[in-house]
Amino acid sequence: MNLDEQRRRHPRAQRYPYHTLDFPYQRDLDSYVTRRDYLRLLVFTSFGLFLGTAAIAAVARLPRQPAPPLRVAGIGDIPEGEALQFHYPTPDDPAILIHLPGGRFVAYSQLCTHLACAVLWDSGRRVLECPCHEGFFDPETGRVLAGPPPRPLPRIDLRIEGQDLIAFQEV
Amino acid sequence: MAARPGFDPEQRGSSGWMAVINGLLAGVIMLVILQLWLLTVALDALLAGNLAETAGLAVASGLAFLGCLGALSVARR
Repeated sequence: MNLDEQRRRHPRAQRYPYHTLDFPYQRDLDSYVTRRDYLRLLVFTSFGLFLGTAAIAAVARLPRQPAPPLRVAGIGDIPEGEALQFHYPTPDDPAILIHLPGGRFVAYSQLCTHLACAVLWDSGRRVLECPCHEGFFDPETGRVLAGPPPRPLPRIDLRIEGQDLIAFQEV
Repeated sequence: MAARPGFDPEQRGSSGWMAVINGLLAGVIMLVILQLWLLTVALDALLAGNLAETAGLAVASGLAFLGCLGALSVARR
């Protein structure tokens, strides 16, 4: 109820200046939200939440531009059990390449899925560790081993061309 | 059984109608909480790369919204 309507309904309210009607002393001068108005507000909220969810679904269906392949390093550049930082798919996206014991190479986004701190390679324990909140990731698969991160690290697919390691897509 | 004098369940503003409105309100609040949860799950699925899940979540949210609209249409009678 706006103030003019409030004044019309309650002739006694005309004796008071507008600003006193915001916080009136008399109970009957106060305006209340009815259940139906509240229901209407909830339906608007419901529509907003539906729009938000639909927007996320629409964004998920957008065709994605594949990032151009990037030479990360040569096969012999990283000793076994060591890691190398690089940027992929854009120069603003930190990533980490790990030469796993056994000769396999894996690469992940370096942004922790918890609060986007940079994860680091712990060669002693052979885990990827987020030092901010003690999150640990499996270097073989990127899945969460411990701590607060809710999702695995995004994996960066690699291929070998000659003696070069090429990053070609983020999954 | 004789109706209680002065009580007409069909009349708006009666205690019977108020119970209906309160019930609708409770149902709509639960649907909105469900939609909030669906939104967070959809965002989580998007960030995790599970893109196929998001369409089903949007449909579920749409159905919840239709339920809310239905409740509002009942309340406006």
